[in-house]
Amino acid sequence: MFLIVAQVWLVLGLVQLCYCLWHVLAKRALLAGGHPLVLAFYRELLACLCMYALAQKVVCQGTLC
Amino acid sequence: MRVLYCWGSFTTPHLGHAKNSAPSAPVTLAGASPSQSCGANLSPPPHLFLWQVDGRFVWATFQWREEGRLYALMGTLGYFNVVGFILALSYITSFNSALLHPTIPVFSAAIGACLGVESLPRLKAAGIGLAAAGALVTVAWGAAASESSGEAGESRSAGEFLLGNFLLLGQCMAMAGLLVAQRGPLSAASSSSSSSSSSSSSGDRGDHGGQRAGSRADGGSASTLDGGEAGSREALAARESEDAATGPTGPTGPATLTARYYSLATVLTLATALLAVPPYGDADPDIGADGGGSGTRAGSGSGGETGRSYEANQYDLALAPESVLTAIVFGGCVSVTFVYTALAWANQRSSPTTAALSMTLQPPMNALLAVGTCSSAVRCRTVIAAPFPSHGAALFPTRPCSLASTACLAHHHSPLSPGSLSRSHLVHVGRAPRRGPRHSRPRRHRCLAAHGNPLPTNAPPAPAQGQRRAGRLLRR
Repeated sequence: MFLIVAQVWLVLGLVQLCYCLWHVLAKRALLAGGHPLVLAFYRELLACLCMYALAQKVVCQGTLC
Repeated sequence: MRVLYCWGSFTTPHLGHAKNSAPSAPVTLAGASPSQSCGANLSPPPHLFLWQVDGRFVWATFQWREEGRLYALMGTLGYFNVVGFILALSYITSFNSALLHPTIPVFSAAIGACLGVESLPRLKAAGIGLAAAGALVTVAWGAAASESSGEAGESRSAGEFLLGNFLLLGQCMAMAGLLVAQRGPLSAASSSSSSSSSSSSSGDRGDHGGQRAGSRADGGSASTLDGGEAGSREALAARESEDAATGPTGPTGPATLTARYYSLATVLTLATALLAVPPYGDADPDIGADGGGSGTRAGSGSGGETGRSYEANQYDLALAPESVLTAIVFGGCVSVTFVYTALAWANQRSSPTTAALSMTLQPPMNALLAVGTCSSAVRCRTVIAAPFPSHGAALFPTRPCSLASTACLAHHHSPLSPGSLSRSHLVHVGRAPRRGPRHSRPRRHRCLAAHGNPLPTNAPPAPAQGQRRAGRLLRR
C-alpha cells in the first residue's frame, strides 16, 4: 500500500515537474523570438497528433474510447 | 519546413489507419482551407482529422445539431486555454503563471456553483475566497514591483504585467469552464461504461460490437437482462442491427471527446496564427511585438541576427532557434501526451483528490526551475502570496465528491482517464460506510446521480441471481 502511494506521488510530482518545465521552456522560447500564436499552434498540432496516435494505439484496447 | 509540410509528414505514416480517405467532415475542410492559403502543396492532403478512435472515424458519430454547440464551446475554451497561456507568458514570468494555475479547480467549483451543478458549502466557499484573495494579492504585489522583474533581463511595465495576469486568469477560467463543459459528456460516458461493464465486459479489442451494444444500453442493463438469456441475445442482436443501420450513437468517450475539441482548438489556433502572422507576407520586424517585444528577444536567446531572420517567417521551423523547437516538442509530446497518460495512471491508483492536491507542488517547483534556468527574479512578496491560491485549492479535496476535485483530473488534465470518474464514484461508495452517518445512502445516491452515475436517487435494487447469471452468459 505504501509502495503504491509512493509511486502515485512520484508520478504526480513528475507530472507537476513536467508542467513547470513546460512553463520555463515556453518562456525561453518566447524570449528567443518565437511568436506565441505560432508556438501555440505547433504545440497543439503535435499534441493533437500524439493524442490521436495514443488513442488509436493504446487507449482503444480498453474502454477509454 | 512549412506548416503543411508538418501536416503531411506527420500524418502520412498513419494514413493506413484512416478508412475514410475523403475529407468529408467540415472540420477537415476548415483545416484545409487556411492551409491552402499558405500556398503550400497539398500533397499528400492533410488527413489530420480523419484519424480514427476505436476503429471509427472520430467525427463519424458526431451529431451536429445536438452536440455542435457544446463542442464549439469546448473548442473555443480549449483555444483560449492554450493560446491564452502562451500570450500571458509573454508578459509575465513562468513562476507567476505557476502561481495562478492552482486556481483552476477553484474556478471550476465557482462556475459549477454558479451554474447550479454543484453545491457550495462553507469550506468550499472559504477555499474560493482564499484562492481569490491570493490571486489578487499576487497580481497586485507583482504589478507594484514589475518594473524590474522578469526573466533574462526583460523589463515589463505595470500595465503589461496586469495584462499578462488578466490573460492568465482568463486562461484559468477558460480551463475551468472546459472542465465544467466536459462534465456532461464524460459523465454520460462514465455511466455508459459502468452499465456496459455489467452487460458486456469483454474488453477485447476485437469485440467492439459487444462493447458498443453494452455502451448503448443507456443505463438499462437490467432491462437488457430481464428476459433471460434468449431475451438478452435478442436485445443484443437488435442493438447490433440498429448499430449497423444507423451507426453508433452512444455516449462519447474521453479520447474521442478530447480529439474532437482539441482538433477544433487547433483549427482556431491555426486561423488566428495565420491572421496574425502571415507566413508568406512581408516581413514585419515588429510582428511579434504583441507577443513579447522584438527588442527583448533580439538581445536574448539565439542572438539578434538569428532572431530577426526567424521573425521574418515564424512558421519556418528550420530557422527556429533550438529553444523554440525544444519547447514545441516538449510541449506537444510531454506536457500534453505524457502528462495525460501519467495522470490517468495515477488517477486509477489513487483518486482525483490526490491529483488535485499535487497541483500545489507547482509553484515551489517552478520557483526553483525559474531561478535555476531563467535567472528569474522571484520576489519575496510573490513567494509569500503563493500559498494562498494553493491552499485555496487544497481545501477542495476534503470534499471527495466535489466537481473541482473530480473534474480537475477529468481533464486536469486527464482526458484519457474516463475510468477516473467512475473509479471516483466507486471509491466514494466504497468509503461511504466507513464515514458513518455523514454520508447516508440517499446522499450518496444524490452525489452519484450528480456525477452521472447510472444510480439515480431512487436506485433500483441489485439484480437478482438469475439476472446476474444471464449477464454472465451474455458476456460469454
